[in-house]
Amino acid sequence: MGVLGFRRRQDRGKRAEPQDPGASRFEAMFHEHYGFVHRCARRYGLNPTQADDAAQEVFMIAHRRFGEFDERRPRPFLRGVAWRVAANLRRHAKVRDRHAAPIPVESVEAGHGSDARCHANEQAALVSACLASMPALRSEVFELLVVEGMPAKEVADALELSTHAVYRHVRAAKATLAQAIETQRLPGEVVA
Amino acid sequence: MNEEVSWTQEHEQHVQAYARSTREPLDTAAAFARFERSRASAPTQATDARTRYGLLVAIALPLAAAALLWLASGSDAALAETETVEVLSPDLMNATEDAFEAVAKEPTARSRRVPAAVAPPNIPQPSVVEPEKPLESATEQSLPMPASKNATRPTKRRRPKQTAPAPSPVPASALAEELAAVASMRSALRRGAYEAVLERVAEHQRRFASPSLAAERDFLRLEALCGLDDEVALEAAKRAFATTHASHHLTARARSVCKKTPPTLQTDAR
Repeated sequence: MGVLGFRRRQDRGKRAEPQDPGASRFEAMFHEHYGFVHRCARRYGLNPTQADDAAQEVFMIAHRRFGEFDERRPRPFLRGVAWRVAANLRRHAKVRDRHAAPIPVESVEAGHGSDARCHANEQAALVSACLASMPALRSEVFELLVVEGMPAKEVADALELSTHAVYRHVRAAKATLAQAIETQRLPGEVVA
Repeated sequence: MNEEVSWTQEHEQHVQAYARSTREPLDTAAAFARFERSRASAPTQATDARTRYGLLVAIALPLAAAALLWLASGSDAALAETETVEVLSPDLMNATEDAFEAVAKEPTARSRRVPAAVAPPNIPQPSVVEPEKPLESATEQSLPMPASKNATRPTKRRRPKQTAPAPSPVPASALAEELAAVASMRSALRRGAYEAVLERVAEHQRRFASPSLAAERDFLRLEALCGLDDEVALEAAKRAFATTHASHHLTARARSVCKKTPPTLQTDAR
């Protein structure tokens, strides 16, 4: 830092050091959980652009309330804020579907990419469709616990459920998913 | 639903494929830079706290001021009860008719309080009696009145100005008695006992040689005559009222007593 607080020429372009340890902790949390918040926003029915805006708003709120939630496990808090922010954005965007839905997987055209990638996309599409056919709460429990890897306690806190209920939902979701994978059909799908 | 799940490697592969598909490539650094820009332009947490405390202060201060005013008004009333003669001054002579009506409308409780309140033992009795206007000031000062649009409320700021001239006030006990007499006239008028009103008016004339409430008394007499449909006596009384109380604020209303829409003292009778 130069005279009177002006930055030296060689310092320009460099990121300023955080003023307080809270700022660095918040920045670390931002980098660690931005993807989670973005995925939550996508899961709650926002398109990628809306999800960007929602994630920004979520972290703005998290910054304002930094210290009011557990910094070591902020995902329940972030998920709750993301749900509300996404709900507001959907309301403003007049999107009617207010229920949590899995992230839509883009269909892969035949012959595009390798066979393995094509196969993986088919697998992902099946799981996505199967989760979409489940009750919203069950699919969200599955997403948070299995896909995101959150501990059951955090999932229970985020969704205001008991841990037992979390495991029950996950077992049911896994049973539905296993059946769909075995039969390569969604539950309730009629074979022509 | 069968909850005995055999979760195999194949199932796990499906889920992993789905998890990979949901993880879009995100530029977290750019997102953080955007966040910093937004945060710099947004109000800070300290500003929010200031706003919050400012709101709290904005709510609390008027409440505190109202409480102080209430306390002050309580002490004013207590002071007025002990210093009734002192506050009788020409400054409050412009007390409105509404104030008088408010006092006269509730004669029972308030008029009972007046003699004890307005006759402290150490107050010197003045020799010269001012006409009726100081009485209105006295009633305003010594009695807690209901809210009246035009009634001027005595404040501590006015008090030094009021005490300066000391215009030989009316004896407090006489005022209280007169007030009680007028209130009884008024209550009789309300009941429709017009004869009783006239009797009490005559008694008032006999009892008080130099009354302070002469105009109010005569006005009630006009209304009683109106109630009795004694037009000849009413017209004579109106002329006498206009002569005797030419400068009184009730004179204009006295002229229109018993007309199409007769104004009465019961302006807000409910």
